[in-house]
Amino acid sequence: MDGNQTSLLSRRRFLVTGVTVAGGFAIGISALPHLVEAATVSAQPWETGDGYNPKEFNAWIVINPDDSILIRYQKAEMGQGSMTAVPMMLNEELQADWSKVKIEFASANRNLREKKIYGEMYSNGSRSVKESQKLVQQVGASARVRLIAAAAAKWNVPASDCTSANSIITHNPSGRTMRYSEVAADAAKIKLDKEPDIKTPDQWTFAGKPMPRIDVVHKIDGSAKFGMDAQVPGMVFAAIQQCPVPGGKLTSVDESVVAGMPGNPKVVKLDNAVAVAAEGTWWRARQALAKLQPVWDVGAAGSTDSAQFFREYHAALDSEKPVIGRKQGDIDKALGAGGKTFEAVYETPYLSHTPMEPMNATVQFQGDRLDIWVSTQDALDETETTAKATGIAAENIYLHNTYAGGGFGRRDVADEVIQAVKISQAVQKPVKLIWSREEDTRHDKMRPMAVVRFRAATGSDGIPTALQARTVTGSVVKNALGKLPPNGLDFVSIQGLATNGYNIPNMSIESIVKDTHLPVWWWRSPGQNQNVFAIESFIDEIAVANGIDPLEMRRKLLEGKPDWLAVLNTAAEKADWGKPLPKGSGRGIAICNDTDSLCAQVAEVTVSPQGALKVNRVTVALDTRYQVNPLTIAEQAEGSVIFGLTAALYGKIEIKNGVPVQGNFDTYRMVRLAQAPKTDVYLLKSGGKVWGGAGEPALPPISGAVANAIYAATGKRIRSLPLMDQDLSTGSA
Amino acid sequence: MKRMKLLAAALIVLGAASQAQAQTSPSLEQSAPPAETGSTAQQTATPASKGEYVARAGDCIACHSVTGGKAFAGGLKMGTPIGAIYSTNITPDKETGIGDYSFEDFARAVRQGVAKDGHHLYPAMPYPSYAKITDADMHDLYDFFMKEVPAVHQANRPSEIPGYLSFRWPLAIWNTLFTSSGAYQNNSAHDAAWNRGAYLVEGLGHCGACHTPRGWAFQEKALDDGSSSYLQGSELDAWSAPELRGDQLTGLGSWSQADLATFLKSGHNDKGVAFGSMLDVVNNSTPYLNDDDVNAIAGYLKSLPATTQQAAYTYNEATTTALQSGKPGHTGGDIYLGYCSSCHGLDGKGQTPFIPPLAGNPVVLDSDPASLINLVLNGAEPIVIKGTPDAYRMPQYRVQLTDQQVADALSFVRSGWGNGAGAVAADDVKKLRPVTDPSSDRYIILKMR
Amino acid sequence: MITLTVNGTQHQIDLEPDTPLLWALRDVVGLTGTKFGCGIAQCGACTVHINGEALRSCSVAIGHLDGAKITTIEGLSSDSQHPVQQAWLAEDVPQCGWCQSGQIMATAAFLKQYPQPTDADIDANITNICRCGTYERLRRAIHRAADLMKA
Ligand code: FES
Ligand code: FES
Repeated sequence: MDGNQTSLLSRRRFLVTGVTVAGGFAIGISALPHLVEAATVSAQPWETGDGYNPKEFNAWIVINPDDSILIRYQKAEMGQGSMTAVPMMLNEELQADWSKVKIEFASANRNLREKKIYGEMYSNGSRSVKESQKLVQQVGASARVRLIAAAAAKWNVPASDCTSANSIITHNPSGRTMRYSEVAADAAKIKLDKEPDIKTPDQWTFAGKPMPRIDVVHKIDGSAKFGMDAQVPGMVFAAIQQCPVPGGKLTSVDESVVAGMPGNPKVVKLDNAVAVAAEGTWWRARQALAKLQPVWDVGAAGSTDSAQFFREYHAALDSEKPVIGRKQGDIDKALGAGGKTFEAVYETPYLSHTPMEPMNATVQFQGDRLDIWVSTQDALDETETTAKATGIAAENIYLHNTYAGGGFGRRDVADEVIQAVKISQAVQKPVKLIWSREEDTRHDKMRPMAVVRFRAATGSDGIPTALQARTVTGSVVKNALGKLPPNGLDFVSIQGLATNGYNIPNMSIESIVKDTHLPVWWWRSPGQNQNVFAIESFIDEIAVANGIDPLEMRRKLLEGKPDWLAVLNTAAEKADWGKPLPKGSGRGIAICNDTDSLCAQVAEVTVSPQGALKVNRVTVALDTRYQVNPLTIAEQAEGSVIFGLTAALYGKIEIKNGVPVQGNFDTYRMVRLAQAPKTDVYLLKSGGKVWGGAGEPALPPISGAVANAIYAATGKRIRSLPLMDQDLSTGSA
Repeated sequence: MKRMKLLAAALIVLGAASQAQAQTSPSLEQSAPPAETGSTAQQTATPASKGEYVARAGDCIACHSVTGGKAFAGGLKMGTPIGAIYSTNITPDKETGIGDYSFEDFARAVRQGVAKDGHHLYPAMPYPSYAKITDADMHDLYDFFMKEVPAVHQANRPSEIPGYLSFRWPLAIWNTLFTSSGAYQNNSAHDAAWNRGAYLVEGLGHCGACHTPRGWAFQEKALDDGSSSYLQGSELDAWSAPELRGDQLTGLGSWSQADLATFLKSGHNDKGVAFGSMLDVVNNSTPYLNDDDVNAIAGYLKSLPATTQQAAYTYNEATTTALQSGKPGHTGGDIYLGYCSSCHGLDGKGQTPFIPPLAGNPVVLDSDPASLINLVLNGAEPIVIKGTPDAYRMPQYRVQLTDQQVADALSFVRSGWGNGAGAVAADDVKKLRPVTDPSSDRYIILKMR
Repeated sequence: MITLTVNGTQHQIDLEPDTPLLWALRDVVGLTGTKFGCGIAQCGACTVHINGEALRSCSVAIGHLDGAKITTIEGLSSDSQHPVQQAWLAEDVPQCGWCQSGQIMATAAFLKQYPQPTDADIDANITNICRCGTYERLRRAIHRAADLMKA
């Protein structure tokens, strides 16, 4: 890696001259002089030892004699770009020469042993950046202050006369300079009586500007090491089949049938799965596994299916008592007040996360020590979960964070890690376990299905005076956290409904959780990813029925909320809202408040008389309140639109005989280039007390925006996804 | 499900149903895919007894079992336009199976389609072919079912045919009309191997049930080599079962006896790969037959003369060149490049024996594109030879390609590389889309004992 | 024993002939830049060049490749100087990166046939899946790569 440092820089130079952010404007060198030489990260960015370094300044920073500086990064990198953004914030304070900065994953093991010196390590809920901000800025500031103090002491001058930039400390009166590396050792010993103040974002000079991702150079030449790429001497490859019906158990399997197959396959029986470990290639393990005919105990779940679940969910709307998640005014009175009333029910199916890199884990025992290489969203939690499940002491587990081939909420369960450990214990060899795509899709922890019923009443001006939303859905909270909070409310189930910003005097947001045998989990924009489709479509229904322009309706409902109106109007203007479109085409708008960010989107679609749908263009206005790296924020917005569009167009996991039917990309279809709309992202930052997230908030609006656009184009109201199952044909050419 | 149309027809003939457009509704047993690999069913060892061997040759298990179910316990759903029927429990269970069948009862059911209690079986049971089974084989078969098959207590599912349509007596008439009676008669004009092949193909193997065209009452037009319509190929439940006669392009003219033997033993050779209902055969039947019998079958089939004069297929490089340029100048060609070429190759020669060639493949050249459409829409389940599944499977394109795109791609394939077959219309695809089951990537294979 | 020339180096591969090239590359040759995404030629993450042609290596049996010349992402260029890689850098395309080796290999072959691709050409020919949804930048990068090749 260090070998091609120079070429790396030359590539960087090229990069900076050309890189473009959202809205398509190019950043020239002049705009970003400090970017000409950028920080680096290794193709294999995990510490190989135990997470210590004799020369380290502290747990976060290593300053080497050659002035190169290592910054440890405590979160995950699954494509969201935080591995660039978080160190940017640290260096905002440290003022190191960014071109000599190298970034590496922090050690979860060390974090455990040193009482969370790195804090939480999860990357989920779009929190990697916002929840790291104070911590890493403090780390950088305190390091800088101590470096300066050490230099001042050497010169025997007051620290207040010294400043630092680009890893160089200057004694301003005399102009004398000293490099960070010269004083690092002394500085490390200095104790501060009080931690220095950290900069507020408006004082930033380094962070806050578009910065190319540090990991890209390794993701264009195949050198970036993901969990599945880990190689351990003497390892065998494992393939696994879990009980087709989630929750079922393995009854028996005839192991003899794999005897004599290539790679000397060994069958390993797990409680709910059967695995085969083979030498040479994963393919051999997969082929041997395919030969097994395991017998499963699938239990009663083996006779369930999606249609039945939907019937039960619909019935539950009236038969079960909801928990009220948000209440204002008197909903019953308002609904009965004699105004014009509305009612509609919306449906969304189970979905699989389907990150591009299927679940996998590589494990190796050396005496008591267990090393794990895995693509994970939460190195710390997976270490602890694995310890709990296997009885191995957590401090003996060294989980090496790797680049992750997508996560979207799937990669903090550790089920694949625990399996790999058990298989390795059984075969007494290092093991690389890889799930087939079919296993990955079907044995996901799903996005729950949901049925949402709305009731509303409007006043004489046609604007809603009452809104009731009641959802029936699986409980992500119960599945992920083990139980519901004391108030019995699954707060995920109402995300996107309760978070609406509309000024409606009488509102009641209600939740009924109803689980099936399918485990459900956080899925990019939990709750929001389905509820925003429902509520934004329903608001659209009301607007249309009352002859009010959907944009106008929302403007009225958001009066007095400048931040909401700003994203709404930006999206509408940039998308030419109101400009006439040819017959068969239409625009739709939707808005949400997700992870404390605001996002409005306008979709422009064309529907052929035969019902062929094309999403031509999507305009996104996203307010994350603050911005550390506008470039990666824009990329996340673009990606979120596609992720949400795939769900809207094709996303469906059906259950038959208790079994998730869709298994691979031929049946679980993804948006490809041909279906990807032109997407323009406009970023806002309204500031304020809370920071918004970036990885999710641009996802929820897309399905509603598209559904509303379809209505505008065809007069067909979509109340259930995916769209591929809806008949959009109008017959009229 | 296969053979369903016979039933439909039987009833149609007798005015019990109006339309012959029989189609199956996806049956749960068949369409729920639990996993990439493995099924809840058990796999088989090499046949141990003479009786099991006969049962293999007759492929009884394909219809009398369901995925994940007990062998021979029945329950396979066979849709019909007037309601579904279910195959029956033929394990030796006294109450729900055939445990109290005497040899005579058994033989009558297999040969004449008359159950012990005298009711007529629906002709989904291929007794017109089974009528040829010799007494010796019938005894072995009876012993196998009585002594070796474990009894399973599983009540038969009643047919879903409404009462006013379910009268069975007219079947007796159908039977007298269309079933030849009597065991196979040796044809002295041929040697023993040929006769053995004929016996296996016309009798136990009941190949004609799918591969012989059907007449006005949907009866098989011919039950032996005496007629040129025998094994001439037939459309059945959205599959076009290819011709098995000597025709150069649409038949087996280009296949040698060795090619055929390889195909029957392994489910593929370097000219083609089994699919559709033929999977039941290669998964459960022919690979378990001994080499003599497989060669006998192959020899017999090769002896069936062509029915039409067809010039031998010649490969045409032009399509390959066009594809290599990246611009085939054909919408279907673009689709082929995007979705098909990685496996079937720019040269259309596939990766034999794992992935079939499209150039010169009789199935591609078939005048009826039903099988091609079905395969593209629904993919194919992996072949499982003696428990070992294929390395590669045909993905399904049902949710990825429109009717027009499927038609374009197939028209390209049928006209490319010297394939002279006709174009496919979007309407052909549209017709098959709703009535074919998306195949799962789960295969069906069952334990016999 | 099958002989493969991978990125200019000869390898003797001693595996079953039905083994997909993908696993020979990842597990035996040790080149992990080529990724596994689906195993059934649907996603393109495993795209490599076989005798100059972009193919999905998960669905190519090595039994058919004796003597073939294979180029993987690691061998596309020395030091990422290939115009497609440069364009990818310039547009900051990759997010998680798992699909990108395949996207780049597919694009490199595609641009040989379509030096001046229209958006329609791209839609019809680049069918690789990107779950992160980098398509906006990917499309820009393909056009940029075409321009770089002209220059
Ligand atoms: S892994 Fe080969 S195409 Fe998906
Ligand atoms: S960059 Fe993550 S799948 Fe494409």
